[in-house]
Amino acid sequence: MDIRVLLKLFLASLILIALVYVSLLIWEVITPFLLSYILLFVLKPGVTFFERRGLNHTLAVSLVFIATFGGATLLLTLFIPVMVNEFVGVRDNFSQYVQSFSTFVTSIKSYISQYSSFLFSFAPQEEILAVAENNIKVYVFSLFSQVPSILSITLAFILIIPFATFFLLLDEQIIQKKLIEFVPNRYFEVALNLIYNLNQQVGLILRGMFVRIVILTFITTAGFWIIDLKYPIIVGVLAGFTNLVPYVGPIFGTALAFLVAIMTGAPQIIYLYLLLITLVIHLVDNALIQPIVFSKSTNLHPLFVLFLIALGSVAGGVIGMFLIVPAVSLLKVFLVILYSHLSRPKKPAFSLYRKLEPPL
Amino acid sequence: MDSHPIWGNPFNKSGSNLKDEIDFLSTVPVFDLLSAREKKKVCSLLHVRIFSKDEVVFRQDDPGVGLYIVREGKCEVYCEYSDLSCKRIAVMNTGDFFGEMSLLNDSPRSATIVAVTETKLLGLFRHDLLELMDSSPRLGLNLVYRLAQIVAERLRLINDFSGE
Repeated sequence: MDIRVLLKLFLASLILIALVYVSLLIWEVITPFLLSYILLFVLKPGVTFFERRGLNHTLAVSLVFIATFGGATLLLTLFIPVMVNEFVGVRDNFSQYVQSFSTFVTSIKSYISQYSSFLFSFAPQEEILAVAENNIKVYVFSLFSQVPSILSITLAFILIIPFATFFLLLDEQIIQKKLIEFVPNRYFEVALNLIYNLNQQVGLILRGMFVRIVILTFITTAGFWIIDLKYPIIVGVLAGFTNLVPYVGPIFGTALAFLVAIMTGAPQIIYLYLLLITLVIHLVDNALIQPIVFSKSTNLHPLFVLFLIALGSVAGGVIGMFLIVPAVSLLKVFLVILYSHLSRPKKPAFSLYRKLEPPL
Repeated sequence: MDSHPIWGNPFNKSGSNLKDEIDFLSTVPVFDLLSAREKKKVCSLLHVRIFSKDEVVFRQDDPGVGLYIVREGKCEVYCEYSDLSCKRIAVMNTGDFFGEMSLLNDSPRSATIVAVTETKLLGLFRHDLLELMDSSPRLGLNLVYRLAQIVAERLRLINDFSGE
C-alpha cells in the first residue's frame, strides 16, 4: 500500500479519535441529542411510510411524532406504577432476600462438601456469606442513592429529547445539506458518499437494535410473568436490554433471573422454566430476529466481537459494551470508503492535459 | 440574498428564492414535466456548489454520484486520453446539465468537466433520488422516466453521429 495513503488514513483516524474524545468530555450535554439522533433513524421509516401515502413532510413528521411520544407516554403511565411497586417490593423485602440467598449458598456448600471436604475449608462459611451480603447491600444501596440524580437527568431528557427529535425529523435533510456545504468542492462527492453510506449503516444498526430490544424485552417479560417469577417487569426489561450485548449479554440476563429466583425463594420448578425460557429466547433471537434484523449491518468475526466487548467494558462499562460493536462496524464502513478513495491511482493535474490540447 | 451559512437561520426558506429556483427548473428538460409542487420537492434535494474559474468539477473515470445543472456560468466538457492529451467535446451554459448517467448507475464519469468562469452548479445525487423514489414513488418514477428518455435520446444522437 502507498505510504501516502497510509499516512492519510492514519491522520483521518486520529481526527476521528480526537472527535470521539471531545464528545466523551461533554458526554452529558451530547447524550439527549444523541438519543434524539438514534430516534430519528428509528422513526424515519414511519415518516417515509406516511409520505408514500401522499401526506406532506410536516404532516407525516407530526403524525409519527404524536404516535410515538403519545404511545410512549401511555406505556409509561401504565408501567411506571407497576415498576415503582416492584422497586418498593425489592427495597422492603431486601433483608429477607439476602437471607434466602445465604440459605441457598449454605445448601450448595453443604451439598458440595459431601463430595469434597476440603472445598471451602480455606475460608469459613460465615465469612463468605458476610462478604457476599455486604457486597449486595452496597450495590443495591448505591443504586437507590443514585435515584434522585437519575430522575433529574431523566427529566432533562424528557424535556429535550421530544423537541430535538421533532426538529431532526423535520429538518434532517436541510441540516445535512447545510453541513455538507462547508466541504470543499474537491472532497464534496467523497464526503457525500461517506455520509450516505454511514447514514445507511447507522440506520440499519439502530433500527435493528431497537427492534431487538422491543421483541426480546416483550418475550422475556411475558415469559417471566407467565412462570410467576417475582418482579417480572424489572428483570424482563433488564434481561431484554442485556441481550443487546452479543454472547455475554444473554448470560447476564439469565444469571439475573436466576438470582431473583434464588433470593425470592422461588419453587424449584421455576429454575427449569427459566432455563426453558432462556433457550426459547436464544433460539428466537438467533434463528429469527438476528438473521432478519442484522443480516446487513455488522459483518465482524465472533472472536473479534468478543474482544471488542471486553474492550468496551473496560473503556465504558455497560454502555461501552452496548456501543462498541456498532461503533466499530461504522468505523469499518468509514475506513473502507476512505481507503477506496485514497487508493485510487493518482492522475496528473488536468492543467497538464489542457496544455497539450489540440485546437478545436 | 442568501443567509450567512453559519449565523443565518438554516431553516429559513426564502419564498422568492424558491420561486426563482422552481422557475429555473422548468427550463431544465429533466424536470419540465413535473408539477410546481414536485419541483419544490426536488429543489429541497438540490445541493448548490460554487466553482471558481478553471476549477475541475470532476475528472473522467472518477466514481460518479450524480447529475449537475449549470445554474450560472459556463463549463467545458473534455475527453482525456492516455497520452496526456484531451479534446473539448462540448460547452455547457446555464440550464444545461451533465452527469445524468451517474444518477442511474455507479459507473465512472465518462468525461472531465471544468468551470470556464465562476460557475454555480446545482447537484442532484443518486442517494437523494433513491430516497425520493422511496418517499414519493410517483415523483421518483416521473423523474427517472424523463431521465431515461433523455439518455435514450442522447444515445440515438451518438449512434446517428457515429453512423455518419
